[in-house]
Amino acid sequence: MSTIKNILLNYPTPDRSLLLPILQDVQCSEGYIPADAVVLISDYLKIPTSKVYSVSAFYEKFRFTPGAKYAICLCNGTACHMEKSGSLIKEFEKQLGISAGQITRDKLFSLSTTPCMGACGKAPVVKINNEFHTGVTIGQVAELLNTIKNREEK
Amino acid sequence: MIFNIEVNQKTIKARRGDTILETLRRNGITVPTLCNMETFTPTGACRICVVEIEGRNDLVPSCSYPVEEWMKIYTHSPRVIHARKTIVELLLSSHPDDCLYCIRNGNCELQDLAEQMGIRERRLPMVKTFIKQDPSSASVVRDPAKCVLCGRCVRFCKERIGISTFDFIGKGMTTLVGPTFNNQLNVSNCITCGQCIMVCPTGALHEKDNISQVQHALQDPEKYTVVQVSPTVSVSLAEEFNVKPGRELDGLLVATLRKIGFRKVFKTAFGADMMVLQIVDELMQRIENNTLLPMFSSDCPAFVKYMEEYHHDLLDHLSTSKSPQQITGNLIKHHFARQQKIKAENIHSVSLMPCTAKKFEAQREENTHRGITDVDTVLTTRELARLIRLYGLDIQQVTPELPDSPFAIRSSAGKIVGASGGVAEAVYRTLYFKITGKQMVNFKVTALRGNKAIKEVQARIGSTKIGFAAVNGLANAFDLIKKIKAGRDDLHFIEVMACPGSCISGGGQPFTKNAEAIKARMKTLYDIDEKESIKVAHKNPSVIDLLDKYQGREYESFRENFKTTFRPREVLR
Amino acid sequence: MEDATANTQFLIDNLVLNFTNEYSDEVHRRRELLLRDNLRKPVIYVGMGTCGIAAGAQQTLTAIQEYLTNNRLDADVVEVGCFGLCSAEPLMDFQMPGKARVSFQKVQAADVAPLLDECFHNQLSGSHVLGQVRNESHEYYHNLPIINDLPFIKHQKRILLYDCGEIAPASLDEYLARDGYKAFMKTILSYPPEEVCDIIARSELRGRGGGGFPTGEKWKRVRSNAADQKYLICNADESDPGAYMDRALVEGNPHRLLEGIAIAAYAIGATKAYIYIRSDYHVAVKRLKLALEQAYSFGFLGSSIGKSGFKLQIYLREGPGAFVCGEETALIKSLEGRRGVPTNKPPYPSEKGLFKKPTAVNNVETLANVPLILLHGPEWFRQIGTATSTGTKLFALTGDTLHTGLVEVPFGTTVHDIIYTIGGGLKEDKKLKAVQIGGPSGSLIPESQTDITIDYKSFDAENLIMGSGGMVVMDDTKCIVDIVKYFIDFLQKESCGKCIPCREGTNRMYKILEAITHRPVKDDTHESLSRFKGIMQLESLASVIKETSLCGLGKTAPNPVLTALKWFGEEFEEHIYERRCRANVCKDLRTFIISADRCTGCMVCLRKCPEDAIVGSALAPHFILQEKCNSCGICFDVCKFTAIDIL
Repeated sequence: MSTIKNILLNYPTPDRSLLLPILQDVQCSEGYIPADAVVLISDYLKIPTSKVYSVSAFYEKFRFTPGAKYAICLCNGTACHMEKSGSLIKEFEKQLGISAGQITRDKLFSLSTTPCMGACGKAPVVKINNEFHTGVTIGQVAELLNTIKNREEK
Repeated sequence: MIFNIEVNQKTIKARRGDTILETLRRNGITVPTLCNMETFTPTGACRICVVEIEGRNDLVPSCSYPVEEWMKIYTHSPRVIHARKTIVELLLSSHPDDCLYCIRNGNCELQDLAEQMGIRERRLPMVKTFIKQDPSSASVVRDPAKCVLCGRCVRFCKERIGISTFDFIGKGMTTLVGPTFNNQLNVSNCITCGQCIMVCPTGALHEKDNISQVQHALQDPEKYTVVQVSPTVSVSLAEEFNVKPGRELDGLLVATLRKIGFRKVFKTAFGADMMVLQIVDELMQRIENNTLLPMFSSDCPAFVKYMEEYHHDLLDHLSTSKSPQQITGNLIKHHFARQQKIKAENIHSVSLMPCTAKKFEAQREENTHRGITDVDTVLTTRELARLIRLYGLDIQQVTPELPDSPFAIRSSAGKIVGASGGVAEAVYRTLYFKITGKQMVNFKVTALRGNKAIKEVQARIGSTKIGFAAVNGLANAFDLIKKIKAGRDDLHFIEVMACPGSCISGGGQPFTKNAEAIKARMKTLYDIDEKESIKVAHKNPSVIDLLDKYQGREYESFRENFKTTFRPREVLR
Repeated sequence: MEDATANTQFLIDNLVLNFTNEYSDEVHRRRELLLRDNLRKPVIYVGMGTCGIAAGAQQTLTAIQEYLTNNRLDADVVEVGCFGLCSAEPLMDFQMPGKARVSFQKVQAADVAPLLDECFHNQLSGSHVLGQVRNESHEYYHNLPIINDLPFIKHQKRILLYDCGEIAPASLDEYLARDGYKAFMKTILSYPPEEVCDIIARSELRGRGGGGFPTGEKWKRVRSNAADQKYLICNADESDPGAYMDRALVEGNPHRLLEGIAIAAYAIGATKAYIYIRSDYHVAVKRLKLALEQAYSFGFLGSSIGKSGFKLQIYLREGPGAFVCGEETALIKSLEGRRGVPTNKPPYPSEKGLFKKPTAVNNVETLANVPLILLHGPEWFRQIGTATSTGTKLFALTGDTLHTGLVEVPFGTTVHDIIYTIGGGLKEDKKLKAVQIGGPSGSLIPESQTDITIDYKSFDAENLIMGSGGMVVMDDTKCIVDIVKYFIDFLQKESCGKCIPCREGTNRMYKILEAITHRPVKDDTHESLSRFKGIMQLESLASVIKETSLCGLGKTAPNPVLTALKWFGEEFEEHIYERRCRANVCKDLRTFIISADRCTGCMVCLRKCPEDAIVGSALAPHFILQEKCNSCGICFDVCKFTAIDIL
């Protein structure tokens, strides 16, 4: 709550056009858009909560549940698609037991796809948090996940 | 500026600044629409109104495209018809295939479009959407699977009601229309006015159907089922049976209801007269003490819910009087039950209302006393029509009958409360008498009549100057409330009705796209007032009779039954 | 710090604001240093564009720094933007004083030490070398190719990319040394805004975002609409899969974009400008923020620019992920803090745009051209390209060509040239099947059509759209139906959902395509009929979507379907009638059967089958239960007796 209030302090004049920057700040600092934030923002900008929610639910970057510790993001751009990113997604889904857009029960991994990361020359590309893995093959999936799991166990 | 354009190879006149659709309509050319609502800014979302303009590759939406001088338009060329048909087929291919089970069967704009386009086969793959209904609200059922995302409810709720309960959620094929966080309606800020139902083209939003409860009660030999009829139901029901809009069905309806099996048929307008007396007493007291002014009317449950959600500091300003429905309901369960020596719990009290919010009102905790609920079931005008059809009755073939005493007689003041400004006018008439001790010469308060959003009159009654205001369409009240909070103090009584056009175009009324029909309903109310001999609530002989039965402390506690309380509600605003 | 500020100020006073082109020796000296024509110490450049970082440039950079510390060597390490040759990333360049700059490709962290050893000892072995940069004032290395002569570079016309990979995007000074902000300062000090619009109109620059609307004309319209406030919006919400021209321009040289925006804002009479950039572009956002800070602090932006009285505020807004926000009216809605849903045109943004004020929306590539046109004149610009399409166009070349990356060609170049000359042909000399131009809603063209020249006129004639500039090359191992399905899937997910034809139509197109690439669940006549019916409706549905959709996304969404049906109809027919995918990409279509003659009953396939779809006992021929089979093909792969056939 207090962090959200602090974020709002950075925007001294309430104006509808600031909705997206504010939501972005909240997403950035909290990792998601908490329900409280929707209420506070709606109060501050004097727009109904339904509008704040509607706007935030439109854009892909905003989520309403806390994210995972490791956000696995697969590029599904044209080049990656042609390099079989589709099967790669399926492999991740199989290994993690979740489908794209979901989060594992232990909140360790989330899986998502994005249109293009712009590293087409290195397709297929997988981004785990801010770390890029290029030319990933299906065989490497288990290895990638195990490295992280091992790191976590320690 | 007027100029000529060519439509379907004929020259017609067009006005600069008008849209193509406006021009076509003015010239009697019909183009189907779906997302379009008159007096609203077009969004161009549905694309069903597309027309062909010579020289353009694409088709343009006539609802939003301005006419220009050079235009040669084709409204029904093969290309246009094919495009429109495909668009409707697209909608149908993701629409649940359950028309036969749908509440809007036979009264659905999507059905009409499919019929107009002559769609007879499934050309496109069917896509099933599994989204659960939201039956949580007492008044409005949301069925997103049937939603065509035209956005009419979203716009209406935002611009006319001012609440913005609904908005679009998500994008693309997964878009929904729903409240904040896609929560259930009962925990949202929805004020249950039901205007979203009135603009919904399909069955995605509809009233909660309570017919079966009434059927059960009617069949139950233990139950003594009675019904009260709102003064606005009888002037709008006609349209459901293809009778001329505005025709008063009063006696015919009473007879029909008796045929259905209701043991007694009462008039809610009786309760309205009683409410007027309550309000006047309270208003006089407040004026005398100069406290809690202005006083707001509280008979519109949607407006009351709005105040409870948004203006906790003004809750004391609401009139503590119950609404006509609840007063009548209370009288039935207590006074009438005692009189008839029936146990209150054996009475099933039904009320027929133009309104979905009344369903909510009947369920309010404040309206249940020691386990006895004032009103058990509320049916809207539309449900009433279905009930009559269910019992196979022809309302035009019955002989008119009179309602049952003791709640049979009303003044015409109790009738006009259904029109915007009606409550204020009824209060005005009785207040005039209470202050001056004289009857008014002409009862008509013209300044409070008509369809204007906000009507005000500063009246000099005796030596006091009293300000009345009547607002219809909740969004229109916002500014006034703001001014009052800022210190405006020349108003004493403010009537607010959440629905634009007040109860005669309430959320439970028959669907009509015809603005004339609504005017006809209003005209009937005022015509009745014109002809009526008893024009003031305090002259209602039954009311006088009833009040005379109670004396002293008994009288006081009897009058207490007509009072209610309000409480702040915490919702996502 | 003081010195640095003073140096920048010196450059502004004596270089930027000196319109005579006659500079003092001191200016020359400082300029040479900044252009790195003359070095004091060795310079190591690392390509730190997103593509470089993805390929491991960050680790390379760390390794370089460690190497220098460990060996106590003094060298400047410069982070530069993307050079354009993505397939060669990470790129590291090395330049000794007096010697030519050498580019090394695919330099991973482990390669750094040996390569730098070679460099510092002046003993280049030639490994990893891409080439050396042409500069006649420098001494060349023997036996190393000249980069500028590589086919990938030689056949390009790099006016926008010229600096990318050379200039340090974080350095304002380097941009100033390359005549940065000169055009802007000259513009606001000596040209009336109308004339700027006119110059751009005369250059015949057209919008590079997809629509191809003449930029000068757009500006004039905004200019002529009277209002108390006007806005300029720079559209950097590039979200096409496989297109990253704008990102490279911003990452490579953010100041030129700012200069372009400033000139455009001056021309249309806007005092507020917005850059709407995709929030995924972290590197670009970071560089833009720094560049904005620099531009404000040296008075290129702000409340009084160069004593001209012109004011300009530029706001950076990050687009939180919606493809449709690339459409100008949706972008405007998004900037207003609403759902990024397009609105009807008219009214056009030039009349009622952002906050209902006249607004010009220009794409990054368009705006990046503007300073160059003002610097060199419209005639210079008109000389590049063809008579009807002037200037250059950037393409993101991806897919199955030998070289992939960012390509800038003058209009008039053929698609064939880009693929075979610049892209170096197809990998492993495979056969070219199709080229997809213009992003997901672009068109697919077959090899026979690749001699089409890239210019607005011939694209219009062929009903193609240039889009923002994605170019995906596919060899014959790719399935057209699968690719089309991929694009339509992308578009149906990115449809905003407002208008019915786009929301429902793209989804139904996807369902039809899905049906023909999948094995029927039940092979009754009903399902076959619906497959057949679906494909019959595909074309008619596509044309309605095209005609009736509200915005550009919907209007162009059917393009991949329509063009694929036109050129690759027989592949669709194979999928429908024969249930066969010639490229074997649509795995679901395969039906496997076991030949009873050849099956030895070894039970290997039976054990490996993930669906338990194979039945049989040892030493007796096995049998595949088709209703259980998911067509994965494992049995086919494991059978040692080639007893399994694909139908």
